[in-house]
Amino acid sequence: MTTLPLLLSAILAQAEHAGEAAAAVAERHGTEIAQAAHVSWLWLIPFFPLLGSAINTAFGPRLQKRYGKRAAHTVAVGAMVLSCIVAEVAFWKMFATPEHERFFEDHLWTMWQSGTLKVDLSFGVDPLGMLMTMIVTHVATLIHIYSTGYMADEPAYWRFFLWLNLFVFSMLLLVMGSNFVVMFFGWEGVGLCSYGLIAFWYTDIEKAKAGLKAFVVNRFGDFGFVIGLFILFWSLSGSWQDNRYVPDPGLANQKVLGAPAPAPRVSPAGVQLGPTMEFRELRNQISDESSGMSERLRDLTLWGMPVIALICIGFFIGATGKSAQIPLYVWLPDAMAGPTPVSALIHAATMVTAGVYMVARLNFLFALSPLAMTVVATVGCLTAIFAASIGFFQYDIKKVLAYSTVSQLGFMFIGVGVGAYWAGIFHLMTHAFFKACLFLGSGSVILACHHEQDMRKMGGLAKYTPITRWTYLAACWAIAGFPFASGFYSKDEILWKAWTAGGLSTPWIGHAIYVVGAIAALGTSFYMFRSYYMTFTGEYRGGHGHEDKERLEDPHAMAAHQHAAAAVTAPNDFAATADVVAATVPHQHGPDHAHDTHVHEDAHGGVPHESPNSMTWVLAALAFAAVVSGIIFGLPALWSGHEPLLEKFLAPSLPAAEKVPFAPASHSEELLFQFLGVAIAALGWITARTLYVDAKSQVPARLKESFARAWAVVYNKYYVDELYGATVIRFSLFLSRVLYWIDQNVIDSFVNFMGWVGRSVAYVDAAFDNYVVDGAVNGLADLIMNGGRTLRRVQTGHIQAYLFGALGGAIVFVILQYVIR
Amino acid sequence: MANGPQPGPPGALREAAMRGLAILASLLLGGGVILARLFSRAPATLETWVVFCLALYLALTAFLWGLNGFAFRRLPLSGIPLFLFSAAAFGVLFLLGYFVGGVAGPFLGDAASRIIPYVHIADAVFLLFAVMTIGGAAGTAFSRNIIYSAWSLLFAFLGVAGLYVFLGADFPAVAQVLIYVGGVLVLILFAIMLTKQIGEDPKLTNAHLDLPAGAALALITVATLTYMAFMAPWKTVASPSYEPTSAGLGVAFLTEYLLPFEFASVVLLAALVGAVVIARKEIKETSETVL
Amino acid sequence: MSSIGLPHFLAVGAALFALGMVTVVTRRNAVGILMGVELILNAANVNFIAFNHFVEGPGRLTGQVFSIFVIVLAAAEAAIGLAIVLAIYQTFRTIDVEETDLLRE
Repeated sequence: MTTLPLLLSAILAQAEHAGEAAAAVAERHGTEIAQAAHVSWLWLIPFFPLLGSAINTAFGPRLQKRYGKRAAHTVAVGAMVLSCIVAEVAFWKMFATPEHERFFEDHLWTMWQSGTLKVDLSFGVDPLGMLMTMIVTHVATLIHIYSTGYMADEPAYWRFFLWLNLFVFSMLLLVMGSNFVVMFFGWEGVGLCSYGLIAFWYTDIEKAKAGLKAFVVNRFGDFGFVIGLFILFWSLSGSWQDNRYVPDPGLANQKVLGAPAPAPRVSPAGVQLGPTMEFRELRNQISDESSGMSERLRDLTLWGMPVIALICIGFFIGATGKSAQIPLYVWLPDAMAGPTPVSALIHAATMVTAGVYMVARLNFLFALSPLAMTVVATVGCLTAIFAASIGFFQYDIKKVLAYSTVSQLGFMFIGVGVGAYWAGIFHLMTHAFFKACLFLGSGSVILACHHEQDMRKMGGLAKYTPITRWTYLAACWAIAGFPFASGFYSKDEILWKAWTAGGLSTPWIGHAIYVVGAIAALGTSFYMFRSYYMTFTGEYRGGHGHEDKERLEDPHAMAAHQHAAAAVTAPNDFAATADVVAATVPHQHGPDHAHDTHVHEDAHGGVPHESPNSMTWVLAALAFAAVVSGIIFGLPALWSGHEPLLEKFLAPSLPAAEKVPFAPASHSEELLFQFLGVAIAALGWITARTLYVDAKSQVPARLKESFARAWAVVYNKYYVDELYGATVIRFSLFLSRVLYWIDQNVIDSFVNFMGWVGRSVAYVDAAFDNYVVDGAVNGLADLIMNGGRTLRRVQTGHIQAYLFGALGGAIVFVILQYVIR
Repeated sequence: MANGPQPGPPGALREAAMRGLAILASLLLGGGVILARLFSRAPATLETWVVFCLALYLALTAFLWGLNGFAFRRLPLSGIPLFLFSAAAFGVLFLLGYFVGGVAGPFLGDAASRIIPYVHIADAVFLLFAVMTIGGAAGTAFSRNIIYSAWSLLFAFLGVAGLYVFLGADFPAVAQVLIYVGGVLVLILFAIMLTKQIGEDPKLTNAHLDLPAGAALALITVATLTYMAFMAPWKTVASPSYEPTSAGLGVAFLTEYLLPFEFASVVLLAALVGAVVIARKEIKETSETVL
Repeated sequence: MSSIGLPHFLAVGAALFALGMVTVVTRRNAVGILMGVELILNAANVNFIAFNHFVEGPGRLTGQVFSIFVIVLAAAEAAIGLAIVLAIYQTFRTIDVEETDLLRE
């Protein structure tokens, strides 16, 4: 263990020199062109989680059997802590680097090269990537620690941690990859891990289905991503002629396929042009005014459509899949089937923000296309209001948070869509804190209420779970946008930028987005405080056991109940172990199904209880971050006089931020909008308090009765799932039935025909084999036998005969070699 | 012509002398007549032709009569039969002479006069030697008698020596004659004599194993090598020299090729000793076996 | 200038070689085989001297030197060959090579 710091320091010292050299290069070319400093130890950040995952994969069951669960989580948490430390080192090193040199790269090796396509396995962090890396590593570490408490009863403990570590590894690939391909690996990797973790309790068919749904829906998005990438790669190809970057003729007109790549094409400012996978090179090509690449991309059309809009919308479709935007958001609420730490880590704090991160990462591309920006902002805005409205009436606490997440992601997309990239990222960061806190708080509540997720059966938890209550409340402040809490700064910044946005395709659309976004913010405030008041105030309405599970409306709770029965017969070695553990330890907080296994014989219960320390400390840390991160990082210029810290930090990563125009506005106007934001939050809070505090008011019930039909529509999520079921899925099923019929009747008969042909040919072949081949073989054998008999006479013993052969052979050789040629 | 051949020693001697004189006289007469005819400037008239033919007839008759004493002892020609025979012989010879002098002679002369200007004397000499060599070699190869083979080999060796001379290699030519003809050939003849019992086993003299196959191989070889000899682009010098080479060879043997020269002498010595050892040992064994 | 050139001599050499080869290959008489060997050596000599004359050029005598060595070796070979023939004759009581097929065994 002592060697590790030494190793780190040695690596650091080596990296210093590389950084200096790269800085000198950057100096020569000016700051417009981003130059990378080589930092050779960046790979350690994703490596440690991968290592942890590998160890748990290979040795997890044995370690857990021999040393207990402590071994599994020691490996996982240890890996995360190490990764965190390296990330910290990188962060402070970046902080110490001059602003325009904050591009750290770690090129490991070239994975493949084909023509102009060169794909490296390399990591690159600029300030944006660094911020994401920090968020991912730190939040993930906290959630790992939380999970040691939350998952304590899980028999397949090692499996949970291996998936979690693998997820962190994939997420780090996504945010640290210096090119599209590594990013895409991470993109797919997090999708896989998400699937594995949603369907963690895979013996429950509902949860397995939820995982499958997430996976399949994400495939639609990934298709868009890949298409966007292909078009981008295609559109970048060209050559530098007559001070102009002209498109390549394409493969069809090239003389030889696979001919060597054309000579490097370099713009006057020294930027290499052409197809690339590297973000930094792409950014340089577009940022470099002298290359004309941005004009070219803007003017290029494909089938009559502007290429840049196609590219951006393709990428954005990928983002809607990963970040749960309309129309591909449907998987996220179902993803709540996974363990709560997973919901917090993957489906709130990190993975679902990947789309936002990608749009911010490609800000220079999106900034070229007002159309694409408008699409992004509009979709984000619609998602925000839509998901918020669904969130109004949900009873399942995790569902409320899930729709809240979808809604908040919509806000982020408004931010990056209107060109306020830093604001979107800022909201991403604050959201990571407060939503992780909320989810973990909900997990704590669920544990406290014995795996009850229905808020109607909660209430009055404030006195049983004080720490959870205060942290939850703090996070609610933050998300609702109360003054001085982080959400206030980030959300207000986004909405303010939307109001003043000047880079969209239609001038008035910014105002429209503001209005809709403000309503969504009102809704956010309302449903968050609703969930708070329903959960923590009034009297405890829950039962003292699990006897009333049947009456639950929530399918997941039902599923959990079914799973409890399934777990008894689960073909898992650890299921039996779990039974023993659960029977001997009288009261342990664990996941629902493991808990349930002993419910049947011992209807345990009693009053709700506070969670163990490993969970409450994490909650406290996240709540603290949720409250203060806004003041620290995002204090607006209106208040402090200088631009926000985060904006300044992210500026090198967001070259397009300066180019997107915003309408000039006076300070008083901005101040007015801030008051408006506070008023909206307060309005939502007051409404929620009036209706739900202590569960005394009868208004909600009456309202529900008078608008029963509308309520049903909203409660059932506008029947979107049913709509998809009736259209996409039904069509798919119809198509599969058609294909099945074709398979059965056309392909099978063809196959049978081919089989008949094969049999016939085989008969012929057998005959051929018997008579021709065997005949040939036997004939050959006879020939050789007779030949041997004949040739035996050649062995005469006469030197002359041998000499005759030798001379004759020599002559034949001479004739063949020299005469005939 | 009344005195015919008489048996008995004194008469025989005189008769022989007379017949010899007759031959001499006939030759003189015939030759003189022919020469006179050939060199006479007078135009050929019928009288001269008659005289010429008569003189030749007489000369032939005398020649035959004279020969009768030596060559045709068992064919006594005298009197009328002699003249008749002489007339028949004359007729035949006349026709022959007429044919040669009047038909074939002019034809051949004409052909020769057309061909000879194109035939270099050197080429003729080369062809002579080449034919001699190849003929000798063919005799060696194909003769059924081992003695004939050996004598054919002599011609082959001599022809090769001639070719050497033709190529301006005087010393090798002489060495060829001395060593091959004088040494090797004699050795081979010795070998034949020591091994072959003439008349005892004729089958063994010089039979062939599989002559057609061998001949075919030879034919192919000759065709191939000749084709290559004529087709290959040889880098020949412009003007080959015909200087004597003995002095140059001597210098070369004692300077540049001294070591091989010494080795050659050692090889010769070893061959000498070896031949003696091999032959003597076998003879000793043989004597033991025989005795 | 004579039209007889190098190829003619090489042709003679080839003929000599081929006939020598025939002799060596087909003769049943061991002495005949010796004669064939002599013919082959002569063929080589003809080639040597022809090349010396036509290719090597004036003043160069390598070909002739080689031919002399070949003649020397031929003499030695003839002596040894005679001895061997005699040995064969003494052993087999014949010099018919058909009978001397010990290699067969």
